[in-house]
Amino acid sequence: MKMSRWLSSLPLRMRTLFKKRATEMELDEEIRFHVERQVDASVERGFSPETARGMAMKEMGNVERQMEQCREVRAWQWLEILRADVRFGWRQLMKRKVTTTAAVLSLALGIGSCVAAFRLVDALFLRPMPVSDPASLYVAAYTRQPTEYLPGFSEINSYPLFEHARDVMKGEAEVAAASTMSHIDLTYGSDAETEKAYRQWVSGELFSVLGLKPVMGRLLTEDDDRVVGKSPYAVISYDYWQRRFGRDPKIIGRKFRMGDNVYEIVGVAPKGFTGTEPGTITDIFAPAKMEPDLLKSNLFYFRMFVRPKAGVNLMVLRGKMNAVYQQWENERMKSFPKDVASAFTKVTLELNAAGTGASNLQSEYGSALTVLGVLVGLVLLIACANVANLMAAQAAARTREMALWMSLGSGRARLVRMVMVESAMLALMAAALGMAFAWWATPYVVSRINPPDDPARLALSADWMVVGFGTALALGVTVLFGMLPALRASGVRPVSALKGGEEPWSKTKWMQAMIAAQVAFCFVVLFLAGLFAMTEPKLARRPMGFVAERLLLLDTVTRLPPPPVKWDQSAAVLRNVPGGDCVGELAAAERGATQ
Amino acid sequence: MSKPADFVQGTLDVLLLKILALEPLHGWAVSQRLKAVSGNVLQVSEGSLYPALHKLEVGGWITAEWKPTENNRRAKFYSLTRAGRKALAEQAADWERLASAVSQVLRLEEAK
Repeated sequence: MKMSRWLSSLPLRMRTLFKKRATEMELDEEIRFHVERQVDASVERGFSPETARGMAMKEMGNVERQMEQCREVRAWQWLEILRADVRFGWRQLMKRKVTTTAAVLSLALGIGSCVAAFRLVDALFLRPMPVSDPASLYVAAYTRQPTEYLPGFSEINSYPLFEHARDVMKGEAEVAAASTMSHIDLTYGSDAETEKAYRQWVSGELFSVLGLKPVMGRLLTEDDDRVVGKSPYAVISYDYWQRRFGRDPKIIGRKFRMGDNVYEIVGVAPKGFTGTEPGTITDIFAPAKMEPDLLKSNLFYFRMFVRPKAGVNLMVLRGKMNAVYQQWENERMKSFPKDVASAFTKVTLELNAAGTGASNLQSEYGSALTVLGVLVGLVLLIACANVANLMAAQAAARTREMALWMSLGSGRARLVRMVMVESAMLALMAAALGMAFAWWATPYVVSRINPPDDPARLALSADWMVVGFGTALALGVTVLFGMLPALRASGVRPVSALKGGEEPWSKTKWMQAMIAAQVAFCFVVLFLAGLFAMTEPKLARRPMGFVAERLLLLDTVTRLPPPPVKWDQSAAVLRNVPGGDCVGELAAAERGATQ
Repeated sequence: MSKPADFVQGTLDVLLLKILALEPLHGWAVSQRLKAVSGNVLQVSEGSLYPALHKLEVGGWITAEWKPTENNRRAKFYSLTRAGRKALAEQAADWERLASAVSQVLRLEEAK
């Protein structure tokens, strides 16, 4: 319809919508006038009034259906119909509270687990980091033929290699480095007040390569990388600023001690940037150049992020970087015994997309999440089949009602719409409930991923993508479980249904197919769930090579590595504690702090 | 071609426009006029008349007004709008082109 004509019809449609009674009466009057005029005409030609009326009515056909058609032509009929359908659907649902509750609950569980799984997948794999142009960001990865001792894949390299690559590749790419995450101790006051925080060491150019702007103060720059140990500055994440300091505006300039150095907070990273490792949330970014120990070429602690400059071919870049890497490694291996060196030489450097960040969690949980996704998908399908069967059973029970509707002039499309609206209401209720469930379930699952004292932390967003996924799921489910019963229910032949006659064939066949599908699904999921349930305790009870019972592990943190004598003394004291059998020591010297 | 009414169904709109172009009429009068002008060839059922009229009204081709009839009863009179006149001219031309094309084809001499 042309715009101008659409506009001119607007008042008419509005009137029909808002002055419903008036238009309805006009329609009625118009049809009545027609019939009476026809009767008059026949009477003039000599028929009796009764016969004339009968003739007129017969000629007119199904008056209700015509009026319905007129109504459909006028106004935003669909809006009115929708309103009526919703009201009617609600009454229908409320009439059968138990079935409705069962359907809503089972669907909610299905949708909820799907959305929960999707939130995980989204947070870990789909959502790009809030950096500029995440699609052109790559991370260097090292692949080799996996051996018994060495894994086939790693993204970790040393800081000197990064510096070398950064300088050599200057013309073709920007290169930055970020360490893996550590859960460390720091203090804003005395040693007695140490607290935990998540820290990433970064190279000075990381923030500029990622294109980030500070919320406050400044971010780290190349200048913080120039001299070893001379830039005791740190940037904190927005999340940490909010959580630890309640967004204190006077945060810039606060000092804390971490390891041997006192750092000054110089800036707050932008909101939403939680570090480069999905699965963890960084609190503190500090320049790697502050820790001389980190800068050894045999210490593998850093990921290398690469952003090719405009017009640089990725494959060519990868080839060049690989060559740089090979040369570097050959140089490094010279100081190693031959047999060790040969194990390290067959490594190739690759460039992997890093727009969503790079972390161990991604590679470790990728396949697990796929399995989870398939499982929850199956659960949802079962719920759908379940509800579809409920609806079908109801539709069968409502055949007569449908027949009555049809004989009163409702078109088939109208009836299908009615049943669909009812299903949609069911699905929306379930979706709302399911979302609430997912909101609770995902953080719970995430908190169970790693050991309790160092849980995985995932920035779970509540953004439109998740909501969109839930809604799409709900609508898809509606079509899936509403369509067939709707079509079937409205496909009745009024006469036979009203007489109580049934068409047994189509009905039972359809029902049986649905039930068979449902049972099959249930079987598969039960089987898989059983497998999980059987395997999990077995894995948990797998012998570790020592008796873990009645063993207590003390986690101690000291500022400076104490001499071994100190440990022996502590152990001697502990040995005297009544009830303890024996104390062993395990010291892992790690960059100044000993645990 | 046992039921010409089927064939004509799609052209009901143009017939209604033409009839209303002559003078404003109420629904019953339109149905009588339709029967009179087309003989019994175009049997438009009373049932499809009103939905068609309402469709034209909503579409903006015709407009309706409640007026007293000759024996002083209230009736809904339809009349053509400017858009309706234009649409009638266009559709009439289309129809004539189609009709002449079809009849030309039918007049072709079959090869003996």
